[in-house]
Amino acid sequence: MASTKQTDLASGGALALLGLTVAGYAYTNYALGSFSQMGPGMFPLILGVFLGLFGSAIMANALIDEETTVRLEVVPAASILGGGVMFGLLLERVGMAPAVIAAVMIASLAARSANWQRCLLLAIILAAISVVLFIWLLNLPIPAFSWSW
Amino acid sequence: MDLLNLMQGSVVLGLEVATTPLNLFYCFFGVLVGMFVGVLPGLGPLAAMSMLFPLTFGMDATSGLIMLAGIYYGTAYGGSTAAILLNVPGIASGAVSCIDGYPMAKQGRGGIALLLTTFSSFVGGSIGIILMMLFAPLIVQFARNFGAQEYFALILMGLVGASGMSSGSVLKSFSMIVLGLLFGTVGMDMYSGAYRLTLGVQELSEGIGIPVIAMGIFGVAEIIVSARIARFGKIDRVTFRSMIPTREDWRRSFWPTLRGTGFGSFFGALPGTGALVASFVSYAAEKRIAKDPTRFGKGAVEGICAPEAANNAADQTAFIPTLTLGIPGSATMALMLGVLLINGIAPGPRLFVDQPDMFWGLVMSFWIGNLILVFLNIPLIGLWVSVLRIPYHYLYPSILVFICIGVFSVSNSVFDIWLVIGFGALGYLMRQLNYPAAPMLLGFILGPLFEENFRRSMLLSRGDIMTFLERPISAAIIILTIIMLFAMLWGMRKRSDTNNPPTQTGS
Repeated sequence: MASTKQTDLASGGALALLGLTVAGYAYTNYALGSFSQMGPGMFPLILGVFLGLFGSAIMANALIDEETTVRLEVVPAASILGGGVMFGLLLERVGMAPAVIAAVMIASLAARSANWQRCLLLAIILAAISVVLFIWLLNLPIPAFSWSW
Repeated sequence: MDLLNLMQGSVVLGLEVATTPLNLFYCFFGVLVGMFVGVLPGLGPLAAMSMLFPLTFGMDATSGLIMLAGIYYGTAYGGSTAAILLNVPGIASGAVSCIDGYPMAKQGRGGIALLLTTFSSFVGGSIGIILMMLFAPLIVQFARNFGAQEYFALILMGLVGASGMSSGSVLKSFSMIVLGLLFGTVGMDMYSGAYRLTLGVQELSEGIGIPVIAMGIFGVAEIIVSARIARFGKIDRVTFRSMIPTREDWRRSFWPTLRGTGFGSFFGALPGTGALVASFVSYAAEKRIAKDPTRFGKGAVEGICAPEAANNAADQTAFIPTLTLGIPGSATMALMLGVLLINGIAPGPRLFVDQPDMFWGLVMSFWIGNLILVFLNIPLIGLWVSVLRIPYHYLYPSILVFICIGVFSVSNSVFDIWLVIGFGALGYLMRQLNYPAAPMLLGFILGPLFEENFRRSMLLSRGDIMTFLERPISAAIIILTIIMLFAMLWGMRKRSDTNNPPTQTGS
């Protein structure tokens, strides 16, 4: 739980910082060229400056706007993103089927209403579907199982 | 007579393309997926379109467009089902249909509401298609001689308009557009061949893929937000007998359907607005002109027919600027352009002139798709009711897995999985902190075109920035954009006095 004043200050600041970093990076690393013959750096430089301006304006606006509360739910975000990360880690190391099962089990933690036996059943069914559909039918170059690590 | 002959030729050409077995199949598949996604709350057309976007890589551009378009207008039909039966909109632009649809369902008139919305959706969609067939050739005539300056001005208008489509802070919309444009510059610069903003990562040298960014900020972020949707309430069975409207219902829904179509057609073609705005405006208009406004909110048929006609008409007319000028008015339309870009086809008036079969084939597939949707909707209503009974905690892990496999399959790269998860996290943060996601996707897809036309204009004018105001058409567009900008800032001031309308993405 946070207020919009805090989150807008932080997010506006992050955007402004990103914009200025990009502008600075483009200025120092890429050729700018002239207006009639623009180099690769000109457009990112302009965009970076604009992002810096808008980010600062968001920060300024946060100071005068009314505050409301913002709700960030950590558990669903962490489990779903974590499920995806686990999938990426396992896919090429142990194969499609175990990666799908692990991803589904971790992602299922996001919902309160699920119980683990049913989730495991869902995971196994999905793993089977994925193997048949993506490996057998669409020839994705990934093993279904692999223990070669 | 000449025009009529021309039109007839186009229709025949279009039908030839649209009725090949393969394209019929893609059309059917698209509207089926669209209907399914539309019925399901928590997943919008953007998430569905971006998930199936990689499938279009193996197709020719016309088939890809037919399929993605089918998903798009299919969701508009399905969106009202959940709104009426559960008081939960299946998609954003179905939200207004809750207001009178759900009371009708509680009065035991849910079946009638479903039939009437299908009917008004069909009427709205059909008139939208007819308008598209009439106006597209005219606009193309007008736009034929557009140069880089005019394109730059048009894209600028599209981008500025896009920040009007989200409720909330205009500043935040602008910052998201610029962020999207910046993501669009990642990769090789088309003029000099220099690698930009790749941070030395080899996988980024060809830029960020459209499906990666779309699936991240719409797919992954959307399931995080809706993962905690609990099981929905009980839904009654809907019998065919209960779907027959009375003579009074038909009489009451006639004019609202046509008025809704009018609003929808207008707002659909306008950049930045679209189905969501159209449905809200048409509902408000019906309430205002009604003899007895107190009936609204208690199950008035006018209150479901007008917005449903409006959002379906808007979905069709949104294709007019996208296909004739190459300027998408919304993120979904930008994805349609993405299909063209990936196939190496430059969007714009030349597309219409050089590849009439693509345009007319797509238009004729709309007729076929709309007819299929009517038949999917009414006889199969039992199926859609049971779709609503699937618990969401089984659905979202499945969606996550399919997203991950989907992005991986595009270029067999695990790096794309990290990117999609990263954009998912970013998209979730954006949503919770009220940064609109659609303008970012629009900026990302239009970015390279925007930069190219800007650089080419400046090259042609020898660095004189006034060139955009010296050419009459580009000057007119720029002035219009400035007026739009002021209207938006004015609207923001007024809106801060009252409460914001519901914020939802997926327009």
